[in-house]
Amino acid sequence: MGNTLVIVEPNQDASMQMFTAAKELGGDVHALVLGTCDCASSLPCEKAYQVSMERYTPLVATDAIAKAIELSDATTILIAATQIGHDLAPRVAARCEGAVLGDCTSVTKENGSIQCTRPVYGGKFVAKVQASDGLNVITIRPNTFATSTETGSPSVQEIEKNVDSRESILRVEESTNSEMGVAEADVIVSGGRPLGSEENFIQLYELAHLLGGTVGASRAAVDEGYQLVARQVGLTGTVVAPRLYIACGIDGAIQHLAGMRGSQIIVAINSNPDAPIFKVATYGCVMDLFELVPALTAQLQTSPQPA
Amino acid sequence: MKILAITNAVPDPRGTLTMGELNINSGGVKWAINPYDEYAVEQAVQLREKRDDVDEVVVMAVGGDEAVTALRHAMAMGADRGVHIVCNDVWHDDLFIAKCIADAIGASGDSYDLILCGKTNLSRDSETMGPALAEYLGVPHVGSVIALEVGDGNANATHKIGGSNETIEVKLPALVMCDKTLVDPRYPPLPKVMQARKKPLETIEPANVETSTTIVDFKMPPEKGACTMIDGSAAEMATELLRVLREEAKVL
Repeated sequence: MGNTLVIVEPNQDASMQMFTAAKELGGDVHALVLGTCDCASSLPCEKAYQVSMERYTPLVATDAIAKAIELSDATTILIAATQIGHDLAPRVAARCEGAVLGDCTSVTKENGSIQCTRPVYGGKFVAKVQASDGLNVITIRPNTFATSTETGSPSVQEIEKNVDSRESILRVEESTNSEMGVAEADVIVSGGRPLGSEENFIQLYELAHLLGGTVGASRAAVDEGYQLVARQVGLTGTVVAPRLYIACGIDGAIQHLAGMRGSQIIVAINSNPDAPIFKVATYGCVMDLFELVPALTAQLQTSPQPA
Repeated sequence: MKILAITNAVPDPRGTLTMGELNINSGGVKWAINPYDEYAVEQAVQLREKRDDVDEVVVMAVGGDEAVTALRHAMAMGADRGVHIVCNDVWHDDLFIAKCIADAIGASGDSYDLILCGKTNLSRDSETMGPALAEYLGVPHVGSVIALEVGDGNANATHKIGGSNETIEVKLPALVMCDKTLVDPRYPPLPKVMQARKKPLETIEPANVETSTTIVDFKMPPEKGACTMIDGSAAEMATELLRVLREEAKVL
């Protein structure tokens, strides 16, 4: 069994969870930081590599990872299943003649080979996939493993950046809205059609911000124009798996459930006790959201979240 | 200029799926084109309609008979011809699909300036086919694209990354993964559906491609434990909910 190479996106908590997974798989752990950060020399690994890139582009990152794979003698590559992880893993696997196991919700070693579980068919089923005998590039869903709090003192080797003229970043427009996206949020407070207006969603934003999260919406709420499609959670929106998902006034259409049932803890707030959302919820509150959401906000304001 | 759009057939999400041997039971499944692939096909067809230099829009799919459903739908939307890479095995991972397509393109002698595919495949729940295909073809790619301008020999593709909109310029040939809001897919009227049946559909056998991963177990997701109902007035509910989230679930 070869070594494990963890790909680290700077300032990405999910990347630090990959070290926990790597430790469970055994073997030496190496890491490659995509970008410049001071973190490389304290990562919990034997050897660290770094490629200076201000922003991610696939060809530059793939080239750097291919070099790091060779240097580290790695046969298992772990990448957090973030937007960049999804984009990068298959390219690396194809470049290095390996296999890709994407969006895994568990990674274990059985009889010497790696097995991953991952949702398929809109989360209606779970497949356990056996990795190849060769190189495996694995992306793991955020929050599948705990964030590693260990540190190390690896030597850091700079990998030469190979700029590819076929791709270049033309412009970056910082969104005027600094609100976090649903894909990367740890806590999502989601609203359905009963919210009734864009203004009423402000109440959800207040609650979400107190919990350190952001707001999602059902397809019905998006169709009504209360929120932009980027906030839509579900099979045809964004599939999310945060630590905490609070569904406010969402009945739970199949497409919505498929997009959020992987969440660690689900709270359903709905005045209809028969709403399907209660079937997937961990905690249920049969209550008018316009009464309970302000009550939660008020109590959080008086006893705030520890940072 | 030649454009290729990749399509997949997926089970209609409104239908019921039952378990089969290490996969779903495919008998009785109603198949439809993967919703994200519709953005790819629509984008391809719009480019053909708007520009004089687009000679052909080809659609390609890997799979069994169900793949034809996706190809015919794409042709009804306006694609000129289809290529069906026949493969009846139960499980293909994304790299397998990408390799089959790359090999088929290589063997056909066609060269495409722009390859479009959907961001996500809703039966494999994966986003990994596109970048792998781009790598096998040796071309750059851009993921999750919400705006696309195609010039001469280059394309500017915009996607959301983190909190910002980033526009990437790629030299053609390139692969673009299409996300929602890129275009509004048309729903083909019946006459177009009828015409599409007469469009050329080539059937080819895949080259000798091996799947490197195997499914060893397939099951329903674990049942969530029963939902714990919280009672009381709104204020009491809020207090109790925050308590359980902090003390029992430990998520706050």
